[in-house]
Amino acid sequence: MRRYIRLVGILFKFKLSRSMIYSGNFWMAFIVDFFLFVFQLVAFVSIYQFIDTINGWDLNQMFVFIGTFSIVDSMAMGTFFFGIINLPEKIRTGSLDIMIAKPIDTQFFVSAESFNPGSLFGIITGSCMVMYGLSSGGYVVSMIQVLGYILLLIMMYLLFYSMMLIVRTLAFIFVKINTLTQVEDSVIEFAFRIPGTAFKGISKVIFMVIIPYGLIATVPTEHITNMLEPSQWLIVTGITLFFFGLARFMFKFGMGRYTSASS
Amino acid sequence: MIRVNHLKRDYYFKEKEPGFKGSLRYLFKPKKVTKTAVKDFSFHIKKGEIVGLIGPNGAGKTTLIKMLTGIIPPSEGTIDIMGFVPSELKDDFRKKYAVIMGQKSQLWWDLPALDSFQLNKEIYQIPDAQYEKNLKELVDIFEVEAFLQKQVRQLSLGQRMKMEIIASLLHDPEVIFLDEPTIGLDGVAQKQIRKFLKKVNEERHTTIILTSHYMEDIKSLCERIIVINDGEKVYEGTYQDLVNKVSPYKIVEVVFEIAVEVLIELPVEYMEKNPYKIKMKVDKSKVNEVVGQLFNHYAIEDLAIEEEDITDVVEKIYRDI
Repeated sequence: MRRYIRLVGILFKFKLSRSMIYSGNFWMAFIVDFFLFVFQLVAFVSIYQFIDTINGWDLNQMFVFIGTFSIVDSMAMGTFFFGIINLPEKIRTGSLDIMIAKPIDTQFFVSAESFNPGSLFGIITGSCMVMYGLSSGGYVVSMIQVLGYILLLIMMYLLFYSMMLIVRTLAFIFVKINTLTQVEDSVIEFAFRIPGTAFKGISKVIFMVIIPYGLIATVPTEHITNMLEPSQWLIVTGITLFFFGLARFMFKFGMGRYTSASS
Repeated sequence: MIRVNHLKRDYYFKEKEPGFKGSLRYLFKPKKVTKTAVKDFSFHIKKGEIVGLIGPNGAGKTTLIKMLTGIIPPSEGTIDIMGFVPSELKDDFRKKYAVIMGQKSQLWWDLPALDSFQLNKEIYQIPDAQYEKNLKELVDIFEVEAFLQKQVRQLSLGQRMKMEIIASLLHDPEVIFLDEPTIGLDGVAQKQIRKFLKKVNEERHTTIILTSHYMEDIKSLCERIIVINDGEKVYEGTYQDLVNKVSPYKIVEVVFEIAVEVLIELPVEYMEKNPYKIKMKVDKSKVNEVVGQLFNHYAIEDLAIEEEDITDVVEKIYRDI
């Protein structure tokens, strides 16, 4: 375990050095993420000028939601996101070969290989937004609640990771999965950026359980704004563990079917 | 050390026929094709041997290397390397070998090679003292100290390949798999890499398995060669035995002191013939007799006896075996 932590440190240092070589790209990641954050904020503030709540959520809760979304999204973008989205290309071109030959877990190597330090700034802006929403909404938050919120953020980060990885492991079988990743992009746009409370009936089952992107920013928000029932912790933990296990299984299954590419 | 028995590797793919109709058929009812890249392949390699795998493009050499390193599993057959089954991908196994693929890099493109070495140090858990010692030794041999801090993308192909080799050998692997290590390199760099591999093999008793299109690599390095064609092993033995088998000739070139108008009858095949010079293909068993006759009948200024051109030999190996 210590070895893997050291490796994360080294890979992060390398990516930071690399990012600083291409300073334009480094600041671009920060600027793009910041503007996405602002656009989302402006969109919801505009909507709330005409209504008081969206299915029971007021503007302050929405601030917490946007902040939470921004934190999880930045954690993902700053760590595994670019490594995972490159997996199908590595499978198609055979560049995964060199990674498989290294004496470390290949899934770990693929996931940790493309850190994007510039994106991590979003954690700060997201946290500020969460604190602003909580403060202007008059929420009194205990230390236990904060720890629970952090735990849920980590779980949702793992869920996001698992969902992305599961889709891309299909490249071990089909090689090209562009259509599938485009569908996934749309689902993320639709289900991840909109509070889960907006889903009803069958859409709730789909986006909160089957492809649970709807949980990712919603559940920590509900917890910190006192809306999450204790029983939901069990469901969320179960869903996270299930998808994390499924992602691991799919990766291992895919590795057994890996055919590389002609040299 | 390496025992490979009845190895087979199948690839399954869908074949598309030409034209629009073919595309439609491919979409709804594709024709499934099985290609066997390696067939019933067996061989053993002892510790410290250098073995060359040669064969034309698409013969199955790289597939074989990928199965030996565990990158892809075999469809049938067994591989035992130092007691490990490669496809299980145990860390302890992967620490014992290095694979160098001429067309695939393990170096970080935008960072100095030294950073990639540092990463390998952590991945392979190389103790500080061993890392420092090996790095110094390898850098000295390849004379690349001046380039260690340079971004990899700014290095020449030859310098990059040397860095690849250094990165692969820092952990003292017991087996090195090299897939086309000298591809695209100039003659000087090729020679340097060959010299280095020989040295590593002699000093550390490292087992080396090499594929190369450059017969000079194979000829100067490998004690034993395995020829693979269409996935099958077609020859296993020494380079010289193979050359004798497919090329029973020597090339004899003679320059006369004075013009020779009429030549005596010789059991040869002429490649070049003029009054001052002849070049001919002579059966190896008749070289002494032919040369003796020429010395008896003519005043000879110069004489050269050589093996057949290596490129022609390779062509014959793939065609005739």
